[in-house]
Amino acid sequence: MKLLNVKIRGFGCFTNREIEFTDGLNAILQENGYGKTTLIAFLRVMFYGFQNETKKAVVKERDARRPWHGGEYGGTVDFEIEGRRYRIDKSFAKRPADDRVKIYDLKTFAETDRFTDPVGKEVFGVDAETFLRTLLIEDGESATFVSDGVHSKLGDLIEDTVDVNRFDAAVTALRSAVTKLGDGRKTGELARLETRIADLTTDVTSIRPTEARLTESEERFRNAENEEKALAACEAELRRKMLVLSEYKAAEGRINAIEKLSEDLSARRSAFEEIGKAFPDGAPDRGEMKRIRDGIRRYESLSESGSAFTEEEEEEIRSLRQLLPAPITEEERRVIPEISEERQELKKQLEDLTDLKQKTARDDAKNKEKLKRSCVLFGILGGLTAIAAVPLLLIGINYGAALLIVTGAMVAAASAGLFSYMILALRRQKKERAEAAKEATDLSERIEQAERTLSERQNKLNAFFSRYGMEYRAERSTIDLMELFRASDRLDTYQEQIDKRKEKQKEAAKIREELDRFFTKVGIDQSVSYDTALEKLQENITNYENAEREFLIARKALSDAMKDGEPKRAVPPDFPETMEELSQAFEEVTEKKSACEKTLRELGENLESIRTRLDQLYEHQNELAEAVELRAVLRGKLSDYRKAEAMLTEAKQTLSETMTDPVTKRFRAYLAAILDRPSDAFHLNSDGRIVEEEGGSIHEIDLLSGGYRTLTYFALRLALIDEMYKKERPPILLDDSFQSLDREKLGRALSLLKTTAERYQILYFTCHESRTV
Amino acid sequence: MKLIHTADLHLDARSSAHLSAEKAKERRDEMLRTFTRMIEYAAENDVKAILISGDLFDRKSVSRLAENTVKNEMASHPGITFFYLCGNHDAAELFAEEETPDNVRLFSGEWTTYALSSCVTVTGAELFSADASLYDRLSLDPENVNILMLHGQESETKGKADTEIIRMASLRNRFIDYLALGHIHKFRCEELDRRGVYVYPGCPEGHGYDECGPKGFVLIDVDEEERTLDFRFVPFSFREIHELKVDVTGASGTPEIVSRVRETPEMDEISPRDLVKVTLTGALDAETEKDTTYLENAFKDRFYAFYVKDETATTVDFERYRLDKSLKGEFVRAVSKEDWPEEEKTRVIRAGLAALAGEPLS
Repeated sequence: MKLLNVKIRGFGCFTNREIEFTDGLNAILQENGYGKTTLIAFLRVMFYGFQNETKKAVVKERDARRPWHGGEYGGTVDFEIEGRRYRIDKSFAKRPADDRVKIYDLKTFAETDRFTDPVGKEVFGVDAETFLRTLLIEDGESATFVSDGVHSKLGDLIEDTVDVNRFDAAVTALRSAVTKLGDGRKTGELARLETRIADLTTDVTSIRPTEARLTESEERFRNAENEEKALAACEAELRRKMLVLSEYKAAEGRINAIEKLSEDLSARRSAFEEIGKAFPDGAPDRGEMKRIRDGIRRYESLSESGSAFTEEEEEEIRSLRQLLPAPITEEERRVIPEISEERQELKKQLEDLTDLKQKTARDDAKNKEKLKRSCVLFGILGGLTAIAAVPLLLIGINYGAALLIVTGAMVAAASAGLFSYMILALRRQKKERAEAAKEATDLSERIEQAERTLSERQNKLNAFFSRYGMEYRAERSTIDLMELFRASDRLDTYQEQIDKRKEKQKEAAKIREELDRFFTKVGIDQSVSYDTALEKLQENITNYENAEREFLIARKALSDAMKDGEPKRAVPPDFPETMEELSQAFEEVTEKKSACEKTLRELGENLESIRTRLDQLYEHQNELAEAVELRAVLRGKLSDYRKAEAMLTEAKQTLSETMTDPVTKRFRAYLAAILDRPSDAFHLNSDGRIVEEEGGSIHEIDLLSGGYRTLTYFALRLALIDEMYKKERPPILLDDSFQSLDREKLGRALSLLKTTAERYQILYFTCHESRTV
Repeated sequence: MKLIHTADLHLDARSSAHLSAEKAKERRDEMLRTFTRMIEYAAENDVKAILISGDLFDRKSVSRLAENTVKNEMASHPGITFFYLCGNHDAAELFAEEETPDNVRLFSGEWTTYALSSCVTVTGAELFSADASLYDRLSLDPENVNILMLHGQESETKGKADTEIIRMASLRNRFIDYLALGHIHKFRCEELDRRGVYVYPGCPEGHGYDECGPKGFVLIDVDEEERTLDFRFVPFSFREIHELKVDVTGASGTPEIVSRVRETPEMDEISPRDLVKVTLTGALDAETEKDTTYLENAFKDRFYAFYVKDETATTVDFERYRLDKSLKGEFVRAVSKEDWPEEEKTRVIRAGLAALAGEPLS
C-alpha cells in the first residue's frame, strides 16, 4: 500500500495544502513548525479518526486540530492498495455524527463500499494503536514492545486475541484455585482437610476402646439392673410380709376392739338407763325447759308485783265508792255531756226562734204600711196618666195627629204600667204576708218542739246528778261532770288494780302448781327453791344427754366395727419376724434399692453418652473415609491446576516466541546493520520487550544510551513491519527519528533507511539537513 | 406352614447413599419400619416362623430404639416363632437369659435344632470360631424337612476354616432341604444338592447405591404332608435403589447431558419414592462444559435421592490442536509433549481449557 498524495483543505496549520508522494523514500526537509507532526496526524486521522472523542475527554483532538485560519476543516488522501487507487475525502464538523466521509474508487470516480470508515484497520490490517506503534516512528518515544495487537497481527490471530487476553485471567483463576486448595497454607482447603483427617483419624482410634467401654458399661448396667431387681424383689417380699403381719394384727386388733366396744357399750347403756330413770318420758327438751324457766320467772314476777294499797289510797277508795255507788257507764260518759251541751243549745235556739218570730211580725207590719203607701201613689199616678191619655188619643185620632196619637199611646202605656205595678205590688205583698204567716207558724212549731226536747234533756240530767247526790246546775255542769268522771276514773283505776292483783295471784297459784307437778315428775326435791331445782334439773339433763350421747357413740362404734360382719380369727403368719424386724429390714433394703437406682441412673446416663459418642465415632469413621477420598481428589486437582498454570505460561512463552521469533531474527539482522555490537545478545522476551543478555544477566534496553535505544527500536520497528505486513507493504512514517544519533550512527541509520526505501514507501520528516539522506 | 427367611437387615446402619443427615436418619427409621412391616405381613399371612440368618443389627452396640423395637415386636407376636442367628455384625446378647421371650429361639457356636412341627426342624450354628469339625457334628433326620441356618460367604474351597466362610462341600448331601443363609445383600438361590437349595434372601432394604434392585425376603411354604417346601422372593422394600449408566459421549454440554439422562427409558419407570444414582459414562471432549451439581439439582426433586457419579473420560483431539495457532492450541501441544500419564494430561488440559474459557474451577 502506498500514499499518493494529500490535499488538506484545513487541518491545524495547514490550509489548502497539497503534497504529492512518490515511491520509496520521500524525504521532507522542513524547518520546525512546518507541521510535520500535524501532517502525520492528518494522515492518522484520515485513516483512523480523531483520538479522545469521548465526552469526558478534557482536550479533544478534533478541537485541537481545527484549521488555525478557519475555513473548511478536512481534506483528502489518495492511496493505492493492491494495484487500485482510492481517495478518502473527509470534512470534519463539530460533532462526529456530522462529519462527511466519502471513499472513492479513483478508477471509476465513484464512491466505493470496499472500505468503511475508519478505513485504517482494513487498509493496514491493524488498529490505531498498532499503527502508531509500527508504522509511525517518532524520536524519543517510549519502549516499543510487542502489544497484543501486534501479536495478533503477527500471527493472524485477531480472532483469537481473546484467547491470549484470557491468559492472565486464566492464570489468575488457576492460581486462585491453587491458593484455595493450597496445602502449604493453613487456611487452604487441603490443609483444613488434612487437619480434619488428622482429627478424625485420632478420633476413630477410640472406636474400639469405646466399644469395649460400652460393652463393659452394658455389663455393669445389666448387673446393676439385676441387683436392682433383686432388691426390688426383696423389698416386695418384705412388703408382703409386713402386709400379712399387719393384716393379721389388724384382724386381731379388730376383734379386740369390738370386744372392747361391746363392753363400753354395755357400761354406757347402764349409766344411761340409770340416769334415764329420772326421765321416764325422756328428758325435757329445750322448749320445755324454757317454758319452765319462763314459768319460774313469771311466778317470781307475779309474786313481787302483788303489793297492797296505802292507807291514803284505801281511804280514797272508800270515798270514791261512797261518792259513786254506781259506776258511770261509758255511754253515760259520752251521752251526759252531749245532753248538757244540747240542752244549752236548745235553750239558746229557743231564744233565737222567739226573737225571730217577733221580728217577723214587726217586718210584716212595716211592709203592710209601706205597700199601702205605694199603692196609693201609683194609683193616683195611674189615674192621672189615664186621664191625660184619653184626650190625647181622641184628639190625635180625630185630627190624625200621629204625634198626639203616639204621645197618647205612650201616656196610656205609662198609666197601664203604673196600675200594673201597683197590682203586682199588692200581689207580692200578699204573697209575702202569706209566707210570713207560714214562717211564723213554723217558728211556733219549732219553738214548741225545742221546749219539749229541752224538758226531756233536763230530766235526764237531773236524774243523773241525783244518782250521785248532786243537783244539776247548768252553769257548772261541765265542771261537775268532769269531777264525776275523774272520780269515776280514779275508782276505775283502783278497781282495775284490784282486779289485776287478783288475776296475778290466781296465775301465780296456777304456775306454782304446774312447777311443783313438773319438778315432782322429774324427781327434784320440792323443798328447794325453784332456781335450785332448775339447776339441779339442768345438771340431771346434762348428765342424761351425755350418757345418751356416750351410749349412742358406743353403739355406733360397735356398729361400724361390725359393719363387715363379725370378724374371724386370722391365721397367724408363717414367718417369725416381728413388725419391727421387718420394718428395719425393709428400710435397709429400700435404702439399698434407692442407692442402686441412683447408680442405675448414672450408669444409664453413662451408657447413653457412650452410645452417643460411639455413634459420633461411626459418623466420623464414615466422614474420614470420605475425607481421605476427597483429599486424593483435591491433591489431584492441585497438581492438575499447577501443571495447567505452568503449561499455560509455557504455552504463552512459546506462542510469543513463535510469533516473535521471525521478528527477532529480522530485528537482529537490522540491528546488526546499524550497531557495532553483536545482535545475538538481543532478545524479545515473552512480553515483547527488548532485552539484552550481557555477562549472564538479562536487562531491558532502557539501560542503554538514547542513541542505542533509538537504533534498537528502529530495528525492531522495521522487523515488526516486515513480519506484520507481508501481504501488503504499508508506508512508513518517520518523524525526525534520529535526532539523538551521533554522526556515525546516523549514517548507519540513514543507510538502512535508504535500503529500506527500496522496499517501502517511506515518508521521512526532518528539520535538519544533516539528517537527510 | 409358611415361614419367612430374611437376613442382613443391618438395623441402625449408617446409609452410604450420599444422603443428608436428615434423610440418613429417615432411612434408618424406614429400615426399622420395614422390619415391623415384615412382622405385620407375617401376622396377616399366617406365617408361623421368621428365620433371621444373621446381621439383624449393624453392629454390636445399637440404639435403644432399634433394640426396643426388635424386642417389642418379637414379644408382641407370640404366635410367631423367631429364629435369630447372630451374624458378624450382631450384638452378642440381645436378650439377657432370663428375658428371652418364649417365642424366640437363639443359637450358639454348636448346632442347635428346634422342632417347628413334628416334621419340620430348624437347625443353626453361629460361625464365630473357625472350627472345621463343626460340620462333622451336624446330624439331621432325613425324614424331616430340614432347614439349616448359617451366616457367611459360601465357598467351595476346602482350605482353612474361616469364621465367615461357609464350606458348601461339607453341607452337601446332609439332608438339608433349605439352607437359609445370610451375608450377601442380594437375593440369590442355587442348588445345594439333589435334595436342597441354598438361598440368600438379600437385605430387605438397600443401604447404598451398591445395593440396587428389588429387595425383600423369601417366603417359604412347607407342605408337611408331602414333606416338601417351596419358596419365592417377595419384594418388600419401602424404597428401591437404582443405578443408571448414561453414556454422554459427544454431548455438547450440561444441557445435553441433562437431556440424555432425562430420556433414559428407565427414568420413567422409577418411582419418585426411590433413590437413583446416575453414572455418567462415555467420553467428553476436554473443552466440553460439564456441571454435575447442576445435573443433580435438575432431578433431585423428582426422586427421594438423586446422586450423580461422573465416570466420563475426557478426550483431547490432539490433532485438532496441532495447527491451532492460539494459546489454547499451544497449551494443548505443550501438555501433550509431557511425559505424563494420558489421564493426567487430559485432566491438566481440561483444567487449563476451563480456566481459559472462564469456567469455574471446582
